[in-house]
Amino acid sequence: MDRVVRLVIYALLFLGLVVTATPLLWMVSASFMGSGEASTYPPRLLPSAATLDHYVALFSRLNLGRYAFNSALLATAITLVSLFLNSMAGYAFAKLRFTGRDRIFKALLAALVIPVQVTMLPLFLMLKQMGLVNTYWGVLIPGMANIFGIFLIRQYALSIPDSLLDAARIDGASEFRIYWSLVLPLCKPILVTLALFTFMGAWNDFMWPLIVLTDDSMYTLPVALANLLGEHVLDTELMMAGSVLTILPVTMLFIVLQRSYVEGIMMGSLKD
Amino acid sequence: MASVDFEHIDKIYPGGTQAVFDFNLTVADGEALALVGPSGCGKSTLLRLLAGLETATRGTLRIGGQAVNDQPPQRRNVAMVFQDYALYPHMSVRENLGFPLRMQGVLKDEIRRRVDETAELLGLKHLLERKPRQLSGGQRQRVAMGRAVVRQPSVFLMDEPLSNVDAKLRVQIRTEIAALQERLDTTTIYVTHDQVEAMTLGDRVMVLRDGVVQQVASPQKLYDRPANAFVATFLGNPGMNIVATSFAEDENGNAELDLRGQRLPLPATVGRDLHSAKGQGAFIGVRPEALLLTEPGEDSLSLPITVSSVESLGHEQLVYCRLPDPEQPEARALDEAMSDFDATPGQLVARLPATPVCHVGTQLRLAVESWRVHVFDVDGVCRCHGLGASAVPAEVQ
Repeated sequence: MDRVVRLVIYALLFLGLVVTATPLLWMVSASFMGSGEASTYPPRLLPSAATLDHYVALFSRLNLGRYAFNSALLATAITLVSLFLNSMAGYAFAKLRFTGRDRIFKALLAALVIPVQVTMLPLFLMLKQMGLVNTYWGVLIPGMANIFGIFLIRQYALSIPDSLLDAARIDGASEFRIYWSLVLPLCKPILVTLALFTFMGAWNDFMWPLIVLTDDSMYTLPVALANLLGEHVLDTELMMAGSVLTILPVTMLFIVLQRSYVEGIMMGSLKD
Repeated sequence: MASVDFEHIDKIYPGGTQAVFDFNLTVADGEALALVGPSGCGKSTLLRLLAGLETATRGTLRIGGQAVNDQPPQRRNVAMVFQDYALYPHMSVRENLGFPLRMQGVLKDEIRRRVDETAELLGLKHLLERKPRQLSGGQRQRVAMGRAVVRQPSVFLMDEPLSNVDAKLRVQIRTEIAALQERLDTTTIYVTHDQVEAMTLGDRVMVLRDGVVQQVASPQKLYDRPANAFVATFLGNPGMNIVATSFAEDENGNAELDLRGQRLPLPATVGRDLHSAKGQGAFIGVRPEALLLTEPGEDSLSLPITVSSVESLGHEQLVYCRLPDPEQPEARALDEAMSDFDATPGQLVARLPATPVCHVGTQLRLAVESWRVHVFDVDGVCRCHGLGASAVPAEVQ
């Protein structure tokens, strides 16, 4: 009986795997197909003769290098700046004593329920007033801090014993030094998690860069890819090659940091 | 090195809890003061006030004669050893020891030299490259001490540094701390709830209760001449026995105490003082080791008791016994007041030699020499040490 149940479970899991992995694998396969081959009927699973033409075209004709640079620059900047600001705020909410601390934190948490889409228009108008539309700053500034990140770090920082911070104070460390030399190293697992989260979010973000960036040379990969879709609506293989290049860096990053990422998520959930 | 002065310090926490009441104390340069009291008595608060981790609500704090109320912990030049050691977990022992020096801007070579010197002093040389989690409890404790020693502070603060160490190691480290203190001759304030630590590590010991000082004195004086019943029962293991008595008068009209029909003569001045509160009676206190299983001598009292339980400790036995209930209603009323200083009415503990072995239910008479009896008034304040001719009036605190 146990065997049968297990067999059924594995069969279901395998089905799930096929359903999720097939489109991804086909994307990779199609990116190597010759022009038009992906649109034939019945559809082909593997290229008849693998070719790198579309990859070459992306870089030579379509300026993909530039978009990749934009994406990398923005995602890295957002990740670094938001890690810095979120960790400072999270630590302050967890460990420093100041008037209204808990009330401010509760207000922030309450703001979590507001959907991002609702804030897009007012945010855009604000940035426009500041003259930041169609600049890198326009993408960077809204991503510089986020409530979820602050919350995650606060929950983790609560587990740092107060005596450790007091000891550092007595040892002569300034408040910033305590944050930099003590709190940051101790929060490393959660910082790795948050870094991955933020980097993937920023890299894959489509809507906001699309709204703020109008100049073609500033596009990020997802935005450029969507444009590609409009211009080359029939060129499926080119699209697939573009998609492969878009998801490749984050996938690699995830695989490398996977272990600490999962650890971090677990800790975040257990330490509060 | 520096002296420390607390002048009229009050500490009220946000929320209204007052932890320290009008606290005054001077710790001389190079002195070791042990602060002892039950948990929640405010002793850790005093330490944190001095370190700058809390601010005093009222009063002035001085280190080396200079008011430090407004100085942050970073600028007070005090070092503190925490109960949980508070070692930086991601730094090696060497980095932990060097951290306070690095914060002071000491040059690298000098840091290296001083860390090596301290490691040598505390026997940590072979552990310098390890992380705290790779150390045993005792080793961690020593690193915490080292981190305090290395910076040559003007005052050492120790917040129950031995409470996380097992009993055997505690004795060893206690001796080490005492030796270190002797050698460095730095002003030290040592907080503990363990009276043995307090007695062995302090030049003077201060007993604190609910934020109020009970007595400050040398360990021996504290033990021999407690200022009140709380100090008497808190120090010593087991603490002093307290028994309720009532007033009587001798044929000349002098005040005496009546202990289960036995008359205890009081010194004239004490008798007069206590007599003005006549009718309420008084307490007498006797240390467990002052109770003897011998025939009472001329200047002794004799207590009729029934053994209720016996704890054999090998070299001695602790005999718990009961006195008969008092006949006088005043003494019975006093019994109720005794919970205030942690004493059980009518119960006595005697520290007796291992032989002859006492058995539960046996009726005995225990003798006490009258100079070893302390008299406390109804509020628990000690009025005299010894009875009759050998009595010494207690100092008023």
